[in-house]
Amino acid sequence: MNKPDPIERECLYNLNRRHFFSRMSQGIGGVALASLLNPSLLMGAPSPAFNDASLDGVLKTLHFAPKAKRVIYLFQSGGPSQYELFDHKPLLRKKNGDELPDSVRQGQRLTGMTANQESFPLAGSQYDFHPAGQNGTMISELLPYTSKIVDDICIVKSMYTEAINHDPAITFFQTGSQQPGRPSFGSWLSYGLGSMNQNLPTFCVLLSRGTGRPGDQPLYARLWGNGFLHSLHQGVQFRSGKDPVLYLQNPPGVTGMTRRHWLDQLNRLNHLQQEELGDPEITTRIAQYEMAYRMQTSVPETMDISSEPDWVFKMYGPDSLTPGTYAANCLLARRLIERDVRFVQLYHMGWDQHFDLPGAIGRQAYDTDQASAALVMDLKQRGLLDETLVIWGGEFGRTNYSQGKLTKTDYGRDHHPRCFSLWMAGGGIKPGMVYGETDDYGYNIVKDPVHVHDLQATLLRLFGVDHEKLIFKHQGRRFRLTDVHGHVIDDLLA
Amino acid sequence: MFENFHLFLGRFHPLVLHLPIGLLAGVFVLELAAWRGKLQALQVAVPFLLKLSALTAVVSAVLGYMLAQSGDYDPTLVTWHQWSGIALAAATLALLFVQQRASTAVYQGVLLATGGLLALTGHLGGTLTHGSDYLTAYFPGNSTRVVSDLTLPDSLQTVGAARVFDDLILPLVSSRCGECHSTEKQKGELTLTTRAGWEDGGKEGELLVAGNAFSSLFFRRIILPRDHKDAMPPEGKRALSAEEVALLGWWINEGASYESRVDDLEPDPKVAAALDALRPTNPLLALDLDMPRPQRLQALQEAGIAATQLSEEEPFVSVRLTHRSDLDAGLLGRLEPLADQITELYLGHSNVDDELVTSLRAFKYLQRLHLENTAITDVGLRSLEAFTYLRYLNLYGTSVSDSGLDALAVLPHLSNLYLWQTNVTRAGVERLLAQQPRLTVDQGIVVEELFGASKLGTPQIIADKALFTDSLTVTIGFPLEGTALYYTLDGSEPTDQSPLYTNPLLLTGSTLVKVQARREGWDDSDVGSSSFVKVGRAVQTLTLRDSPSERYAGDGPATLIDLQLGDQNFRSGAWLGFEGGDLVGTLDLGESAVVHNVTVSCLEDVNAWIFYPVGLTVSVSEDGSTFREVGARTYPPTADFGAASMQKYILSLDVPQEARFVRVHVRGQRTLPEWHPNEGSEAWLFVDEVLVD
Repeated sequence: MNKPDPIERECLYNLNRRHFFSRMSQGIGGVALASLLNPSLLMGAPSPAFNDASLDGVLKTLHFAPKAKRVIYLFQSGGPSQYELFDHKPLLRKKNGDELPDSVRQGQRLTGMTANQESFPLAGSQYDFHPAGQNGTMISELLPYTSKIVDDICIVKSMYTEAINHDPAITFFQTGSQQPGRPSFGSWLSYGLGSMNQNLPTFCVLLSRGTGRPGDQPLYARLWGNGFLHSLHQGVQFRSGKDPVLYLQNPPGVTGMTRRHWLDQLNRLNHLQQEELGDPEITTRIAQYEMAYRMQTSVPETMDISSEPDWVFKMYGPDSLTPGTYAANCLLARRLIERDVRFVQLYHMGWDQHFDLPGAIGRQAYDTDQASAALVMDLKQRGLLDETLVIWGGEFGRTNYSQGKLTKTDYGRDHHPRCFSLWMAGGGIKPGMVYGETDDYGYNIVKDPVHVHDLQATLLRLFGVDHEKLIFKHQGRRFRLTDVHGHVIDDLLA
Repeated sequence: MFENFHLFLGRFHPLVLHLPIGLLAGVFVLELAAWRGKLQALQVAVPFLLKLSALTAVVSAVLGYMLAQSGDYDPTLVTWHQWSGIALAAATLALLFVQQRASTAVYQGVLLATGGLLALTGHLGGTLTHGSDYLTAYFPGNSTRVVSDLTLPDSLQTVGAARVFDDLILPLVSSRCGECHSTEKQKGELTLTTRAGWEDGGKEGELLVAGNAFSSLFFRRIILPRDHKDAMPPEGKRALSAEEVALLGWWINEGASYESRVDDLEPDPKVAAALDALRPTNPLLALDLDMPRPQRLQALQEAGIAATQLSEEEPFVSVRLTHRSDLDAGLLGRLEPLADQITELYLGHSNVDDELVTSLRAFKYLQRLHLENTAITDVGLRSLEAFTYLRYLNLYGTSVSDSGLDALAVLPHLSNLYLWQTNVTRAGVERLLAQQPRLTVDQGIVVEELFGASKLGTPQIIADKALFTDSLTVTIGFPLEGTALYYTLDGSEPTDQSPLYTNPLLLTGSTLVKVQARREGWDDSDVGSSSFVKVGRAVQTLTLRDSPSERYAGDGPATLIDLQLGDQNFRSGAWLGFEGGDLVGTLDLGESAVVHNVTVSCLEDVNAWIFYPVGLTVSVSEDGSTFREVGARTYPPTADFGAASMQKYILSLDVPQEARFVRVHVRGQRTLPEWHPNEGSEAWLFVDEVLVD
């Protein structure tokens, strides 16, 4: 017997259920056995258990009534220092220069950058704190605009993580695992909840470099990757410049009309193949081509901020006029959310301030403060904030002792995973609240700790998802964003 | 027509599965009956029954597998049920085999094991179909009553009128503690679901000490650390939240009166926030609406209408038709089969107008309605009077005005109203608030009040390269159209008398371009400046004695003569990085020429261990093999931390030299200085360009 050629073999392999039933000679038992060996053979219509490639989410109905429907995650990459921004520690100023007591450190491991340091002098913040909002929450003078929205945000001072270096820590925050390879938070939401939108990706990513430390570590696309989920769930990076989404515009010499004819013919071929094989991947492929075609119009329209009135730029700050800055990205985030994009992920680099912290954090705060506050206010007045979750925070905190020499005006801080601060607003988060406490040295958590997995579980809960039930079976194991951990923090929910 | 045939067959699983259960039970009964020698005549039927059992068990397992493909069931449970079912089918076959071939003892053992598997599989299957609490729901003592937590009874308009005990505390405590302390089940002889129970206290005595929460037994037990053995609710049950505890403590401290209302007690800021946040339970829940039919939802989705059931707990449906310009009465009419379930309607940025709004009447249970940026006016608002359950209404960016708000005054549940960018005045809002005290109205922020005077961003001066040999086109970019961009080319500061930028500038010589943006209502921008240098002579080739670090190798040695400068990002590829060493490069000018200056452009970023050079030596040669030194400079090493910066090191020869080959030796700092925390490690030298003129 001749060996079938590979394409033919593939076709045979992909024979769908219909063919089995039309060949009754094989009998029901054969069908069942075949499907045990390869479940996809029995799949006529795409079923969510095995195919996550449709624009609808895998969850037909949510587990709980959702409070949040969209999210803007303002990721502050590098690990912002909590002592200069949110966690007011007068004791550190009083004991400025004193040695970090062993009773506080308790043998905590340090990074290679300070582990060999001879002394660990405590470093108090160079910046003053002032009470803000109805509850008199203490906020740093570096954040004058954030202090104006204190009544709308919830500050968590008791975040903690397991990782101590950037790559594993960011990966942990974004995917629930320190090892690369798992889907990002946005991909999980896209997989679970589907798209609200036919013209733009469900998960959009915007990057900016801070002025605090312009040469700070770069980021990598796997942070917004889909891991083992279908690739349509991966984040799509929007860049500043004339080609916001790579490979989207027609190549030179190809007109829109040519593209349309080309797509029509391709669709016809794909439909034929679909008829023949019944493979749901082909349907997805057709949908993706059409989505890309529509994005040729929708992306430039979204990125074109020239229609925004003057005062919008005043609100987000002058940086918002410069494409690629954090402020410009905040404005774009609002425009994407208005167009029903579910997940907008910003990354702002430059918070990794091992040296020259007082200067660098001032510049970083200047980069982000006004635009972040403006974004929250803008969403609020548009009636979007109650269903849009805004998160501002990094991957870990910084040490209460100085890395390198502590001088009157200068010090640095190393990575600190045991406590750090972030804030959230809207989307069913309790506003105007401070959650969790650290000790007077700001080194350990003394009340209401929130692990990264707890935060992830809580965020999923806001979206109406039980974090233990949004799963994907891969290589014989059921995976979740929260792995086998995570507790919903009820006190954070409005 | 056959694509779902396996699901059709699968649904026969619940029918067929009872056959092997009954038949196997029959085998048990017959074997039991024949056990002590009585009724042994019945045993002849056993092989026949076993064969039937095996056949039906296998069929049942196959059908069950097909049913599982629907994905309608909990995947974990399905997996367990699937494999125990397959094992049961296999066990039945094995039983048939050993009954005929093996000893009685073996047969009896397998029979018992099969029985166990049967019970397990049956139970798992039952749990899949009916839920895990089906069996135990009516078990004596199990309360199935669901009382919500801290909520406000719908009859009350404001929290002030709520009775603290009856309206707030009793429902909360009943829901959280009633499982063990109810009239049905009185652990510790305590009932917390009735007022009498509270007054009686429990085994350990009185519950409350009026006026002193910390002396009250009840309060002390709920504030114990969670891992304490006496903490209530006990481990494994959800703890009371901080606000709930605060409310209970407040009530006890204020006298623990069973009659008082919220307004009667001294306000406490800690509790006030929690009380203010109280909202009545959703009044729609009391109506017991039907769940939406999945086919109806699917029909809408297939028609391109995003309709989703909000959660599996509740029947409510959300429909999203934003940014659509093709809405008409016909399309909205397609939603009507779900009129009893649709509670959220997103119509923002669409072509909805006053007339189309009238076709929304059928959706009487709407709670959230988005009409922002539509053509709706005061006339259309009158149609909204019918939506008695409406809580959220977004009208921002419409032309509604004060007179239209009267229609909203009658909506009893309205709590959030968005009126930014409408014709509604502050006075109009005040009038509405007088009638609707619980309403929150958002009229938008006043940018000028919250945000200080804004300075324009610095205009961007854009050119292909900073260095050029012939001429260079420079454009000035500014994102806000209609902004005046004043520029100078002579190094002076731009003023409003300077030339106004309209078209790209053509530079034919070394130029310092300065530009400033000005616009009414804004502060003038900072002056942006960029210098562009005309290079007299292009270097033909450059060879390096030592290769740069592989990580920072740019496009090779040519990177240093490509007339492209780098920025502060040392990873950009425009920089060549040398670790712990120097740069020694030999430039070939192609022909003999007079050399006046040698320029080396360097980067410093001490946090990244990158330092400026400490010395520069220039030698020249005619033949490329014998060089003579013609100039040398040393530079002071950097003494402290600072932000990243770039600098050009220019060495002007005392006597211009005629030569074809120029050798440049840039001496790096080599090791980190003693003030650096990583003292002694190798320092980096970063160079992006070497120029000769």
